[in-house]
This record gives sequence, C-alpha cells and structure tokens, in this order.
Amino acid sequence: MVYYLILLIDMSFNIELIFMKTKSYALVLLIVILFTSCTEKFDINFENATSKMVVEGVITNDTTRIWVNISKTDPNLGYNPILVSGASVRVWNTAGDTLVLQEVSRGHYEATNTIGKSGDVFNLLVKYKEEEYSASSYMPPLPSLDSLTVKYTGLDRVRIFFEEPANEENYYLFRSIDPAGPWNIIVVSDKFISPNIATDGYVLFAGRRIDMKNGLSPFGVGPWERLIISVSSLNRLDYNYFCSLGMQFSTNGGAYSPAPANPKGNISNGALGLFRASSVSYVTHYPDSI
Amino acid sequence: MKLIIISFGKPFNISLLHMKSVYVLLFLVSFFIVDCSIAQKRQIYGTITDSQDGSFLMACNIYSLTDSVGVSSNSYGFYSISLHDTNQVIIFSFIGYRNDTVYISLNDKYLLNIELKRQDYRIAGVDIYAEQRGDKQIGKQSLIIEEIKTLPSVLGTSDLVKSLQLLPGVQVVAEGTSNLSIRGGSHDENLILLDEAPIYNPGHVLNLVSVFNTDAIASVDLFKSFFSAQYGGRLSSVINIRMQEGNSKTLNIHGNIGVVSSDLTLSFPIKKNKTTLLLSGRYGYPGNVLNGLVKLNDNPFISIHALSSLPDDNIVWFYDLNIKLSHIVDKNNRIYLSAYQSRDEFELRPLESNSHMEWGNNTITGRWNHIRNSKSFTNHTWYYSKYSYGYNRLYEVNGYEWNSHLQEFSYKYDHDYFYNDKHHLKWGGQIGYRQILPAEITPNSEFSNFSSFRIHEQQTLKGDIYIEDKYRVNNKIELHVGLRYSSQMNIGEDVVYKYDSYLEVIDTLYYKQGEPIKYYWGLEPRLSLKYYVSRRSSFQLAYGRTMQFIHLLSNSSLGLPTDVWLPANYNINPSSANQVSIGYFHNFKKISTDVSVEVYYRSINNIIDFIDNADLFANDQVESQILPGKRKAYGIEFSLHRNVGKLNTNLSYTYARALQKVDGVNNDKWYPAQFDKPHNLSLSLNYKIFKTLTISSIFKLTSGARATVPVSTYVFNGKTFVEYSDRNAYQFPIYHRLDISFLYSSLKNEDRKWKSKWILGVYNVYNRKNIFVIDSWSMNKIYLYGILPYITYRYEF
Repeated sequence: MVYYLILLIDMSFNIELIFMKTKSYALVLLIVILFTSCTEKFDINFENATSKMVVEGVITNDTTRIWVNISKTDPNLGYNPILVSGASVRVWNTAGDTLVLQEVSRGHYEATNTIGKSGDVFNLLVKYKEEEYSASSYMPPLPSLDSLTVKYTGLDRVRIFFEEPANEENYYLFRSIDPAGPWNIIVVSDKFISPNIATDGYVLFAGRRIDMKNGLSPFGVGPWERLIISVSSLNRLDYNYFCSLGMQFSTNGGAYSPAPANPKGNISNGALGLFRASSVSYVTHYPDSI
Repeated sequence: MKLIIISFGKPFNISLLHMKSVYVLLFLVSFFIVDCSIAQKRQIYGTITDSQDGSFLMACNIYSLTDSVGVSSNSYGFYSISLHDTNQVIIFSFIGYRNDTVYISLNDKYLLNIELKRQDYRIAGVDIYAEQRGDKQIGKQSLIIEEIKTLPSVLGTSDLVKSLQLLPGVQVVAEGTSNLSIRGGSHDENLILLDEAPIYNPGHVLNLVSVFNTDAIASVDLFKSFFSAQYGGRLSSVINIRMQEGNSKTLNIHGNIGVVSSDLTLSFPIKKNKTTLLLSGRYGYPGNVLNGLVKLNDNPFISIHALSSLPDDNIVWFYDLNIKLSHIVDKNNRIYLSAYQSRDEFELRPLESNSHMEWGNNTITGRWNHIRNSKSFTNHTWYYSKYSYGYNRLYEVNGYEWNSHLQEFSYKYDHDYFYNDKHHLKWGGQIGYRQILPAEITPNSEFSNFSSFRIHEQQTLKGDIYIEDKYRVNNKIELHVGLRYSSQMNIGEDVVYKYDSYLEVIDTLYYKQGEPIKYYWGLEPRLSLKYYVSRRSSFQLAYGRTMQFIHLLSNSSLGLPTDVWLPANYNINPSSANQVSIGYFHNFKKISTDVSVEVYYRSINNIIDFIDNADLFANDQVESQILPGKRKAYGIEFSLHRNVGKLNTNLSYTYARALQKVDGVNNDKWYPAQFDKPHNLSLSLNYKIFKTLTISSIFKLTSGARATVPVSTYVFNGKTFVEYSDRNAYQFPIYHRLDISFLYSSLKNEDRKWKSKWILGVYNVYNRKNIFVIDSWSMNKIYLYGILPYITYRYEF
C-alpha cells in the first residue's frame, strides 16, 4: 500500500521529485538483484529526540469554515498522531476582525469563516501551556478561472484546463475533493505548466494502471461517480513546503538521495507545520457524461 | 540594460588584456630562460625506457657515485644530470627493474638513453624498492598496477579507484563507489587525468565500477592535497593516470574474462622501435547477467524469491576503449596520440517508473615531447575532453528527455630545465576553453506535461602559468618552491541574473557572444622542504594553496552521473584551499620496512552546499539554490610497507575529521561532512605460497559514514511524515570487511606462448552486512554486498 502511494505521488507531485526517486529505486534494485545485497530491519536509536508542536491551519476565501489541527511529533517514530487538546486558537485579518476557533474534536479546531478574502493577510495565534505559536500568511488571488474545466480525454487521462497568466509567478494546489484519497493533492509551479494549458490541459493523472470505471481513481481511491477538484492559490513558501514534504515520498534518506531536510514552515517558536491562506475554485466532472 | 553592460565594460577590458598577457608571458618565459642557460661542462642526458616494451619510465633514479649527486627522470622518462669529475660511475635504478651501472669517461655532454630490464621485485628487488620509498615525497602515493590486479575485488573486476581507497587519507562515503574524498575534500575536488586529459566522471554503473581498465594503464600517482605547481584546477588531489604505451618490440595480447565484464588489450609495433599502437577495450554486461539469471529462475528447480517478479529486459551495460599511438620521430622528438571513450547505458525496468540514463567520457590527447638540448625538455599537449549525459524519463505524463554536456579544449606547455646539479626548474602554462550545457529538455511523448526548454550554456576561458624550482640546497636539504597563477573568464553569450540577499532576482543581464562577464584569478604558492635526517629517513614540511573554478552540483553524497557541473561565474565564487602538512618518512633497512607519518590541516573556502530541499532540476537560476560555505579538515596518517621474501604487507591507519559550516544550513552550525569517518584502518597482504599460487587479502575497518536520519514522526494533511535530525548528525555503525583472493599461474606459462592465470576470490568473506543506505520509509538498512565469490580468467599471448 505504501508503495502504491509512492507511485501516485511520484506521478504527479513534482517533477524533480520523480526524478530523484527513480534513480534511487533503480539503484536499490540493481543492488538487490545483482549484488547479493539485501535489506534488514535497522534500529536507528537516535538520542536526544524530543517532541515538538505541529500546527496545520488553512483559511480560504470560500466562506464555509476555517480549521487548525494541533498535534505533537512522536520520537518513537509511530504512525498515529499525538493530538493536542485544550489549546486556544485565534485567527484575524489585517483589519483586526478576529475568529476564535473551537475544539470540535480532539486536536481539531474550527470556526465559521467570515473573514477569508483574497489579497488579505491573515494571522494565527495558538496558545498552549504557556507557550505561544504564531504565523501569518498572505492569500494570493487565483487568476481568472473562467475556462476551468476537467476532462477525461481518453486513455485514462484526466486533464485540467484554464487560462494561466503568462507574466505572473503562480503556484497551484489541485485537490481531489470527491473522492478524497489518502493524499489527494498535487502542487505545481506555473514554471512547469505548458503555456498552452487552456487548450492542451495539464494532465492531472494518467497511467496504464488506471481504469476510470472500475479501477483506481486519480488520487488513490475509486471507482467514482463524479470527480470534484479544487484549485487553490499558493504562496511560494507554501509551494516549497509541499514540495519538501513530497520529497519524503521520494527520498529513501540514502546516499543517492539529496540530504533530507525538514520543510520550512511559517509557525514560530520551533513548531513544525504550515498556516496557509489560499483562494480556491471548484470544478466538477462526471465521467459518464463523456 | 545597456547601461549595466557599459558600466561593466571597463574592468573587463582590463581583464582581457590581463588574460592576453598571460599567454604572451607563457611563451616569453620559456624562450627567455632557455637562452640564458649557462652551459655546464659535463652532462649526461637522455631517456629511460623499459627494455621489454620500450615504454618510458618516469621517476627513475639516476645517481652518480663519483659526485654523490642524483636526479630523477621526468614524467616522460627524460633526465639530465650535471657532473664535475671526468670518470663517472652512474647507477640507474627503478622500482621493479634491475639496476644498470654505467662507467663513463666524460668530457662534454653525452646523450645516454638507457633501457632497464624488468625484475620480479617481490623476490629480488626489495632493496631497490625500499630505497625508493625512503625518498618518498610528501603527500604522494603511487600504485603498482600489477599489485592492483592481484588484489581481491568485487566480482573480479580489478579496480584502480577501489585500490586507491586503501591508501591513507582516502575516504569514500559508501562502500563500492568510485567517488573519492581525499583529505576532507569532496569528490569533485579531484583532478583525474588520463594522459593529461581530465576525466569528469570516473564511474560506470552508477559508480560501482571505475571507468579505468587496469589492463590499459601503466601508472597511477595520487597527490594528496599538496601537488606540484604544474598541476592546478582542483583543490584536493591530482590522480595522474597514464595509459600504457604500445609494445615497440613485439605483438602482445592480454585480457580478462569475468562475471560482469571482459576485456582485451592488443599492443604492437607498427614500425619496430619507432611506432607503436595500443588498443584496449572492455565491455561490461551486468544487465545481461541479470536478465540471464531471471530467465534461469523460470526453471522450476531454481527459485530465488528476489528474482521471481523481475522482468528480463533490463539494459545495464558499459564499455571503454583506449587507443594510444606513439611515434619516435628522431632522437629528440616523440609524439603521442591517445584517445579514450567510455559509455554507459542504464535502464532497469522492473518498476513502472521507467527511466533510461546514459553517460560517457571522451578524451583525445596529442603530445609532442621534444629534447631541446642536454638540459631542456619540453612537452606540448593538446587535449579535448567531453563528458555527456542524458536522462530519459519514460513515464508518459511526466516524460522528458534531458541532455547535458561539458566539453573542453586545452593547450598545455611544460618545460623541464635541469639547470645544474642543484636546480631543476619547471615552468609552463595552460590555456583552454570550456563549454557547459547544463540542461536541454524535450518532452518525449505527445502526452507529456513538459514543454521544451534549454538552460543557457556557460562558456569560460582559462589561462594559467606556473614556475617551480626543485632546489637541492645541500645533501641534507631539498627545497621545492613553486607558484601558479590561475585564472578564468566567463564569456557570453549568456544571461546573468542578479540576486538580492534573499536570493530573489532583481535584475537580468544579457551578454553577447564572446563578451566578457566575469574574471577570476588567484595565486597558488606551493612550498615543500625536505630534510634528510639520515640516508634512510627524512622530515618534510609542505604548504600549498589550490584554487578551483568549477563546481559539481551534486545534491547527494555519492553523486550521480547526471549531476551538473557549473563554472564559477557571476554569482558563484571559485573555491580555494590552504593546506599545511608535516611528514616523517623512515626506511628500516634491516627489516625492509618503510614507515611514514603525515599530519595535515586544511581549510577550504567557498565550498557549495544547497539550501534545504533545493530545486536543482533544470533550474536556470540554480544560483538561488546554492549557499557558499567553508570546511576544515585535519588528520594524521600512518602507513607501513614491508616487503620481505614472499610476503608483501601494506598497513595504513588514518585519523581524519572533516567539518563544514554553511550559513543557511543546519541553523548555521558546524556539521560533519558525510565522509567524516574519523578512524580508518586498512591492511593488505600478499603472500606467495608456492611458485604457482599467490594469496592476497584485504581487511578494512572504518568508522561509519554520516547521515541525516528521521528522529520523529508527525501527521500533516492526514498523512504521517518524518522529522529529520540535524544535517549528518547520525553516524552509521562501524564498517569492516575481509576479502581474500587466490591467483594461480601454471608453471607451464614460462615456456608457452599462451599464458593464463586463474583468479578465485571471495569479497566480504564473513558476510558482514555493512550499511549502504538507510531507507527512511521502511527503517530498513540496505547493504550492498554480502559474501561474494568470483572467478576470473586472465590470458596473455
């Protein structure tokens, strides 16, 4: 399963990630096959590892809700989040309009979004046990997405079409809202988007393994009756953050991979995570209608 | 935009003049010094060659018993010795050759070409060898090719680079790779010269096999961070590899047949004693072996789990070709033409993420050796070197083809001047042109999301001059003083970005074809002092400064064939290093043992590292991903060489550290380099059990390499991720292994034309599972080689 995920991310996440990954796999394979090498469980047993705060928050211009997740890192390298309950969480805009988020489930804080607006700057403050964690983020506007469409273009290909402004530096996050897979996002810099995206489209997903009707869906689950994709604007910091995270899918931490590094987020006081403000648009597609 | 170019115009004009003056000076110096030479009364000069195949012998000792003075031959076998007395007794000696003693009555200059006869140094050449070692030069290590061939190796492919790894002061990040770290330098800081032409990637099959075919190599010298002013361009070492010359007497054919590669070398005279040709080729077929194994596995009686799910159409092969033509024009002139080509194709398709990589080196070298007079020897070298690499991503949506290359043309002039019995001068220089195309990307299918683009080429000119004097002050003290002036100029056509302190582009400058962009220069003083404590021991002190005008953008510690070379340019400074070392060398005659101790300290400036999670892929503003830093390295190296009767022992131990600091990485704190492995021990033994059977073994023990590892996990967007430690904060467990090999050579070989040898070996005898990589996904360690037996057949006729 993990491997399947790697493939999915690989195929769409970021070009250079794919690039690195292939090589490390190729190498490992060569070694495994040709030179009697093998793998064995290994206990790193790293000393001095401490638990750190992790804050993940999103505010959009879609006036539904704003949410923040708060958890802690696990020095035992476990797979379940250590959720943080009882924090006080506030978000406000430049004008000073403040939202106080309520803990709706353990570690998950929400409020109705009444302030999200493109072009504004938003601030986050988390207080937990005498410690304060803050962040601020600008919400970049999305370029006009009048032509935004998603098409199934045969050969198991889903393409997204829209007018990409040529003279701006833009970063996008595509998310599969429905169905929602375990890792249902792709980030892309317009540097890697063909100038003809309005007519040629950007291939969100394709591959021989995929059967649109009965097989696997673009982002990890399927089959689906309809496809809802959201397009969000990103700051460069957000884009780099997701790319760095994505590198974890592709790096094996080994000698042929780049030296791994933690993504650079915007939360203060040594906490990990990211507070992101994004403009967002949605597009729906019914495979049967083609 | 225009304004900017004009404002930069002036200094560039000056630097152009500056550059020009370098070339003019280069030639003036050479002629001037020759003309003002004062004729010494008595002299012997000539070249020293091997009697069997006519190849020249470098670093031979020529010693006058009468005058008690000596010199050594230069890299083309030329020597010249100035003498006082009329009746001379002169001894010519060289490792592995019989001494030749010449009695001569001398009144004037005398041309004396000497042919030395080979000798099995393991049996009878002990003393000569030992004497040679007593005279050891600080920082220099030489490999004996025959020794390399008998050492145990991975799958029987004798490997020059792996043999270098046994020497003190030489490190590798991970077992089995060819990227050397010498005295705390990274692997792009080594100048690897094959017949004077630089080789940019010394590895086949992702560096698991070195690109040099030992059967075509005559000699290998490694200069560790201190080298003669004759060499420049890299910070940490010079690995000077010389191809064999063709046999000028008779046809000789030899080769090896091995598990993953085989080779054949032909060497013969085109015109006896005048023109010779060497042809050598090697073909490696690991992919075919693998495909064969997979096919074999289909047999119900053989079932290897690891092979069962693999396809049998993998492409992994390589070849290398060496050609060398040498021609003796007359007694004073020789010309050589050597060419080298290597190629790799790499495609392992078991996973659906298909990719195809290919890379290769090409070099052509032309040389003209000229004996000007009894004291002067000149060598002109022209070379062309190209390293090209490509990557073909065969995945439809993100499919693309990436091609890249680096090529350089250069002319070098070297002058050896044996002024008198005290001074041996050398001077010369080099001019060159280098062009680098970092990336050209084209989509490889109509479904690809990629659009074609090309990252602009970078072009540079180089101009270096040097002069040095080997000055024998008296019988006790020898002084080596040298100075090198090295420079590089970036020229257009180019697009240059200017960045602010946040590495954001604030301006773009356009340069026309040939227009100067940036000029860098530096002075590199080299100094060494040798003090003979006794005839058999010396104390040496060396200081050297080196500069490097080219960087390898390698985001991984081991490097990949597709890593990009980039010159120092408008935004990236050249790097420089200073080193001080002290050494003591002693030869214990009674027990035929050489020991040496060397201590060094180096500081390296302007090394490059990358911002965290750097975006290097096809990035035309790659400078924005680079951070300059510094490194310090220090250590102590012990070595012991003993050659008694049938047993040959080499033991070395090194304690070495390499730490670096890059602002912007690791919270601006010092951190260890990946190859920072403090303790290194290696022992190689070679024992002739019978006349027909020799056993060799290698034992190696080092501290583990450094790595950045996961320290905790956390959840983001519903998925678990890992948090990493500080850069290289984790040290792998100790590395150690033992290899043994047996060489069988039939007694019949002595009488028959077809001579054959069998080599049977085991790599990693006790199956130590040394870590190669830790997979941070599965928390598994991957080890490269378990116990690995092999067999090789070597033939010669």
